Amino acid sequence: MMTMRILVAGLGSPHGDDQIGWRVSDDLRSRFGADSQYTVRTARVPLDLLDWLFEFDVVHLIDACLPEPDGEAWYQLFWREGGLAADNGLQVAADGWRSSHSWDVVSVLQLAAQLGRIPPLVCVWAICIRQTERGEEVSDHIQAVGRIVADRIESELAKITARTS
Amino acid sequence: MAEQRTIRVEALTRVEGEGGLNVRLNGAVVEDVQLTIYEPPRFFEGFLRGRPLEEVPDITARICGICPVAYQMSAVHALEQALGVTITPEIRMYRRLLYCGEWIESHGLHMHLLQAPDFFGAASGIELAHQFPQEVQRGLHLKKLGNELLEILGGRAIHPVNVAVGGFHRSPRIEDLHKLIPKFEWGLQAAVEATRWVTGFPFPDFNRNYDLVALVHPDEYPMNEGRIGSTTEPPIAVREYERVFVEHHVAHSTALHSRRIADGRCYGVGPLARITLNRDRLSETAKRVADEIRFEDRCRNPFRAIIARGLELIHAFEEALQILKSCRILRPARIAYQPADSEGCAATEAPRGLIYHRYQIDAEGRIRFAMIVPPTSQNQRQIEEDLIDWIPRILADDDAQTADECEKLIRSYDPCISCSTHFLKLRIDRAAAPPAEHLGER
Repeated sequence: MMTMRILVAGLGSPHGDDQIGWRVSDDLRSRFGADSQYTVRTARVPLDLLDWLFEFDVVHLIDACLPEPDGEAWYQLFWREGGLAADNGLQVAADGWRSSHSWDVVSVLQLAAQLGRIPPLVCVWAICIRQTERGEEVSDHIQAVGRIVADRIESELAKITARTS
Repeated sequence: MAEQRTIRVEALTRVEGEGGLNVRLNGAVVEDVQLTIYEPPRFFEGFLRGRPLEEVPDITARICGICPVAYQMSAVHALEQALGVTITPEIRMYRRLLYCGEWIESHGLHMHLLQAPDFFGAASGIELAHQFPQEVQRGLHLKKLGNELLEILGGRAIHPVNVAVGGFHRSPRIEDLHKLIPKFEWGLQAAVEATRWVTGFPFPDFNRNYDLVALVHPDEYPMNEGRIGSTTEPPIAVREYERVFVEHHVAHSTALHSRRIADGRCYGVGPLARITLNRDRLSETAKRVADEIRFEDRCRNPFRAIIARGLELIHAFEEALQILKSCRILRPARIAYQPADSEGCAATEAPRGLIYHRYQIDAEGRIRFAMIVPPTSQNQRQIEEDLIDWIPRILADDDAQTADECEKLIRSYDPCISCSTHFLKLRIDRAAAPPAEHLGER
């Protein structure tokens, strides 16, 4: 049975809650350990992902997003047919993902698709954040949400590994 | 009566970070241009006070998530100057290698994905990838090589942690550096191809007389050391920087502008300035390609800075290869020092241009004062003056088209405003604007 090449990557910037993607990655790296079959990385900017995407079959990305009116704390989105969408039908608009960097996640994934680098499964975990103050740490509430997301990612990766082993 | 128009771009695209532009027109006359950039270093200057000097490299790296090495290099050189630390030739060489990594990553990205789309009617790198998939792949691969070097030397890809006052915290693994050699040999050839590619772009005919400022050095293409040279004035020692240049507030922006104290002139920094002042110190391949493509000795077209970046990309790969092929374990990795009540300054060449730092240290080794002048803030006034000259040439009835042409000129400077956390929505305002209050500052 083929071993799935799995990447978990956290995105962020050093501004308050916008670090949450990095925090979740660091949490998962600790949980998986040094000899893990999963590759865990942190990216400065979404464009860094283009260096990595073509190496993997499954990619889980964690990034911060601004809150939506529905009050959800986080979203699990999948790359399908050129866009990001949730299983419940929620879709991210083509220009709906503004980044604190020059390229946003959606644009990077679109470019990857254009270049033939998009993996078969791309899942984006978007955590709704509150503050992006320079010099501030991640707020306690967002850290708690990050731990929940890390639990979910760990669970989903275990299922993938069980199916393919 | 002439029509009054305001063209506003609230979110510049394909630049690092967030910035905006306001242009007020009276008929075809440009009455006012305001480039709006949020400046984070001013916050960090206060943030550094009271911190141990050993923390400065890590803290200043967070000023910019895109080009942390530039801030780290300027900081450590300024602090070492204050403390009387003399680094070894080997530490000096590894620092140049680290800077090569940042130049490669930054220039490779800007050339292929940020500015190149402008020349082909592409709204983004995605559209450009449809027309030029191999070229875009090449740019991404070049960027990746720069990141790999930063990770090996800097300790990690995000905010390098290996840079220290006195040198590095640890020597890089030589076997890891040697693995880069074949990759960088590819990179050198790819950089030559990239430079030839951008040379053929349809550049607008737009030339201005500039006061270009960059480090100059008698023996090498400057990165971390040198005097501050200019195309209009004799070179000065770095310690003279604040006697010659000054930052000042402008009413329309939270960012600071820079100008010459003597006559209030603006000036420009960046690859065009470096190449104009240091062309004969480029690497052999870079010089050969510069001659082959007949790059002007004194280029005055800001759009052609992309070619200057290409030549510097070649130089960075060639110098990096020389170092990679000869590097040894760094011993000592770091020079010891004693904290002392002292003051020091330094200027280095970030990918986007000259960056200046000055620090005062107390007897316990804590920062008492910090001053940080990034390249993008030094270019702001020159960008605005370029636009004043440029807009009448490209003015269209359609505001969006005019705004688009303005953005192209701004992008040619590769401004790094990535630290902004202001998310602005794009809107074109056709209403007449109130009179500007800041014209007296010009």
